[in-house]
Amino acid sequence: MRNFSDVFAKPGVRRCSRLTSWIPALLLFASVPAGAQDLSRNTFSFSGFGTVGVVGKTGARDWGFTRNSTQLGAGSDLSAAPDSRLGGQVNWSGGSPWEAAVQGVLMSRPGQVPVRDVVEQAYLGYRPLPDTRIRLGRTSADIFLYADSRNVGYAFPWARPPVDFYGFAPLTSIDGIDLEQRWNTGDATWRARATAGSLRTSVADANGSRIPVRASEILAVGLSRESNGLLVKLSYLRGQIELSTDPGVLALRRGLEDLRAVPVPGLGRQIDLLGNNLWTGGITSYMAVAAQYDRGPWTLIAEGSQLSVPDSPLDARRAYVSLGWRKNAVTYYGIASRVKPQDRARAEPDLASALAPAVGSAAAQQAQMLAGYATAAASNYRFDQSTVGAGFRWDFAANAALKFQVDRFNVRQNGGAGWRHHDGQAAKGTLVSVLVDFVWGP
Amino acid sequence: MSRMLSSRLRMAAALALSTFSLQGPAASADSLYVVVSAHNPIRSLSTAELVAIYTGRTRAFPNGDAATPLDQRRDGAARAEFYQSLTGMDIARINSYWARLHFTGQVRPPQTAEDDAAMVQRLRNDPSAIGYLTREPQDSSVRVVMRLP
Repeated sequence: MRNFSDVFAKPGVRRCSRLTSWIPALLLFASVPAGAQDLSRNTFSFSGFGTVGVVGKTGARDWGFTRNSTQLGAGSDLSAAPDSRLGGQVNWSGGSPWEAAVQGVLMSRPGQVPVRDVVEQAYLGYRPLPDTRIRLGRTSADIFLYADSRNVGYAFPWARPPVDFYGFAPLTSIDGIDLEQRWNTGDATWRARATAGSLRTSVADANGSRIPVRASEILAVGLSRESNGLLVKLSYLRGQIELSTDPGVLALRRGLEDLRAVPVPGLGRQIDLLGNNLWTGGITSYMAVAAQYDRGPWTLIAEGSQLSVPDSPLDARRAYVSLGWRKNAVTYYGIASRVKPQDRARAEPDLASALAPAVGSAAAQQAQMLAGYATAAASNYRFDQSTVGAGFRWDFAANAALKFQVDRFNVRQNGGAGWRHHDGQAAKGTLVSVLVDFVWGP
Repeated sequence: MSRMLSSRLRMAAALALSTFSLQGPAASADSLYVVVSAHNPIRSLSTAELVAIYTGRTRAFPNGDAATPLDQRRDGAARAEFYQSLTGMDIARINSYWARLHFTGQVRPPQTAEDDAAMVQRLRNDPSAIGYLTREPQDSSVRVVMRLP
């Protein structure tokens, strides 16, 4: 196993993204059969998880449901694409201080997604002390209760983490360094984590096309306290995000900049507002507070967050609350969630009237069309919807659960960023989900 | 013939006795014995400390030494009884809980020992290990630090 230490020693391996690519190769080189579960010091194990499910939709005609922004989404009103997935994980434990893991998840994604997007985790960890851990590679950001386990359906009670809250969460993994410390005070267990690094990943646009995303200078910190069944968690993330938008958006931006040169009073301000709708990057920060109370048959889960992306329609507050009650092998639950943008959707400004005297009516009409496109583009970023749902989870086997959930959604005007092929209009409808979640190996 | 049968019975009895010489008879049907290596300085644990170790919240004993929790067989009754008694959660919830910790890279679930004998064998060789037995151990190489319930 000295190969792992060689990773650190290799002079050319400086960037964590390169380290990430090393770890899977080293793990897969293992000669120990996958699934070995002996009690020796140096062990490999293979485990996995998956979900098979369908979701049916009524309302929001021709819109495609998605679980989160990285997915291709449903191609019809009844689809297995949003929820069905398969994940595998290889763990290596090289004696008590060393560990490593690689996890990949196969699911419906936009075309031409690179292999690196399939890798959720790939790290090498070292514990200098039992409750202190340092990891290098790709790790999950500790910024939500369920973001890092959002693909492991068996690990949460619902059909899926609430889309209003988790639908926009592209930065769930970070390539870099991760530090974790745990400690106890009385009956309380504390955990602090800090992660720094960068990430190249993809999201899907409203038409399901891949948009490469590059995030740099990411810093994520999380602090949680757990005592007597109550978990409270605070988290913060800051990073520089850049979207590689399609040429059409860039052409729109250039068109707006050209308009700015026209000497019409007040036009510059309107151009700025329209330009904000064509956001392609900037400093992003995220703050969240979460609480989970798990006592006896009752489970109460609530999270609230604020995503701050200055001068963009992405600025939004999110929250959800869920109450569950368990009897024997069945958990019944209800859930309500909301995502609300910081700014109202702006109406299309009347540029034609102001521009016509200066540039002529034909050019003014073209400018008005440009304003129309830019206004409509905002709905590709704005999440403005609420959902109320209820369902049950039946643990019919020791490693599998059947879930049934009904959701009623309400999407506001220009708030359908969580849907594929939406038209920017308001919509209401119902989702009915039936899934089986399973795990093996852990 | 009867002498031969009697001899075989005695042999069977001796085998049974040797099998159970490691551990005495179960004190009660519901009791589980939380044990560590005799080389481990820990003499006892509180319920909260044991819960912290077996729910992955800490990787250390109260004295700061590394703790390596071990489980009985994943689908066995002993494991289900242990977690029910310790945390009040049934085995499906425990499996779900550990799945979340495992697949998010937080903590690996305890490794498993096939039965009491395998558990004792592992404890003998590893001072950091902690496990549980379905019978009170008679072996001096391990020490009971808690009895459940």
